[in-house]
Amino acid sequence: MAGLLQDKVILITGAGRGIGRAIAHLAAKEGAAILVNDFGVNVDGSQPSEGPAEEVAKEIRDAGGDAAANFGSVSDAKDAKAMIEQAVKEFGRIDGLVNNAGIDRARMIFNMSEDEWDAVLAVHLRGNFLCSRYASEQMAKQRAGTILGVTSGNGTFGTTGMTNYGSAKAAIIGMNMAMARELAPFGVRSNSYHIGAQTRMTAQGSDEERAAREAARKAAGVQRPMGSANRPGRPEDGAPLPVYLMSDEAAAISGRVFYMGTDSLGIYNDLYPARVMTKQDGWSVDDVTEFFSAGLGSGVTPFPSGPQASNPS
Amino acid sequence: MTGAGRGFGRAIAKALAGAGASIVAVDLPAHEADNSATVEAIKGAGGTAIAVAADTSSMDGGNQAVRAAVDAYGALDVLVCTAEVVRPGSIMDISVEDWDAALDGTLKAAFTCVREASVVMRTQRSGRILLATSGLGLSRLANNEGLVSTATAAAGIAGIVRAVSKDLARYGVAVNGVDLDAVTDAHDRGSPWTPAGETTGSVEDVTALPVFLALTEAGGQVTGETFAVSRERIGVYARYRQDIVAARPGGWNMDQVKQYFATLDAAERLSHVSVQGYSGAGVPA
Repeated sequence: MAGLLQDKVILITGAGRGIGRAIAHLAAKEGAAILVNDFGVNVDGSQPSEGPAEEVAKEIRDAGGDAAANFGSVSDAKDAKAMIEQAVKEFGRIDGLVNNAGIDRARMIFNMSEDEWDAVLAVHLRGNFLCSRYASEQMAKQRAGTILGVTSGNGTFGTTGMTNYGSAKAAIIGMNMAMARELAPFGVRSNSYHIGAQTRMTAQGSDEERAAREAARKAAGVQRPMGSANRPGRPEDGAPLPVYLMSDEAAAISGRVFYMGTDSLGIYNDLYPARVMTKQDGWSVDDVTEFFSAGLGSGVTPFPSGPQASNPS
Repeated sequence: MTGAGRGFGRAIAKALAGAGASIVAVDLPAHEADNSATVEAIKGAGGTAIAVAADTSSMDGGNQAVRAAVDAYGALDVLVCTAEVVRPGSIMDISVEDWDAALDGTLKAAFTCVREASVVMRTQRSGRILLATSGLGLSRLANNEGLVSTATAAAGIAGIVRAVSKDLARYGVAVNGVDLDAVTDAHDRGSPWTPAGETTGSVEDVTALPVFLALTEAGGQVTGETFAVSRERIGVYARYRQDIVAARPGGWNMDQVKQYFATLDAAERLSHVSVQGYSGAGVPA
């Protein structure tokens, strides 16, 4: 039986370990030729190595699949361009790009260094852009292809201690919505998703930082991304979502945001202004104050509340 | 106030000064003449303002801007970031240089000021941060074609709002976003939620909401939200919500995921999923 991705060519960044590796294996099983990219670094982005990408490519080939390895950095324009060129050279085209590569340097906003911002934004956001930039050129020529941006609950809901990561993950959604429009005339699709699993990255940070992230998640009513109550999430749990989104069965789906937890699967709402009030002759500050108490302010996050309410200010 | 030399920044700076705030007008060294004009206009109307020439796309620039406020006035009560670098281009043709200029000049420029302000406001145990964002990065109904860098930066700023509001809540610091819809040199796309035919206002028409959030008592009682304002309309953006959730204890295999999407299709939910005007089939070669 032909697989869901039969004869497609898929590039997955950061596929040497964790979730990326799981997507690579499932996509290969569904019939795709895989370009396995991994810069081979630690979670903080240090110490590149060719080992992880080569190893996953070999695993796929040993299982009877088709795969090649790439060791470039997604945040380097030359490397990103070369990645797309390698896919075309080795396999003739590129049908899918999964912008999975990521690093993490969690820090409270008032302690975050310029380098911590730059490093995380470079890999997640600039890397997502560069690979998409060069892949979209090729896909537009082919009149076919799918680009997937990887977002996170840290981007959609916000998590304490993760302004760099959360901002990059939120920005990726905006990028993919714009790309969906720009690429639609060429038959190229773009979506964002996030899936949850326990990987070496989710184990990052001090005990306090992990506890703070967990508490924030609980307060926001967000499912724990690393697993359900019953079991921890495995890297392979969410892989069917990106594989499906790159298949021809998803040909009508573009510009949206999906998520997959250990047990759950869903779509995010679109953001639009709610509780809109109209005033044809324009607004004064007093008008806004009045309308805020009359309805605009209902349902917004009450503030100050909780521990900060006891502050002297 | 960053981006104070022109457009939204100048209009909001003047409105805040008119409501009694002392202003630090920050803009790029290249916009020094415009920025001075903003300060002169405020002073001419009886207000208080100083001009700071700083490029906030580096931490040094953000630090310079925040330090100027503390040095001049002894405190920083409100940070408003409207600085924006616009570089049109679609994903297929935008240059890497244009991308970097737009993202550094908009998203990182907001980060550096927020980071530096957060240090001061955390010590003060009070403060308000207001970041300009755009519906171009928030709604898939927005006409963001050819503005991928603008949409990306705007979405990233909304992400800063969500994250930093959580970091600073316990210190009494409120952080919100504002989507300002008016005609400026940089913006002519309109807003996805403004009905066709409704007159788009000028930058002066959209200052009441920022002033409300920055200076009034009621405006300090909200954090982590993104508001939208045009000449005639004010609203608050929906928060992200995970919809149409299906759960399978034990997880999902490939066929079950296919079935989930088929169910959505049958329920005609996928018609809401596709991009307006996009048809997956029959794309001309």
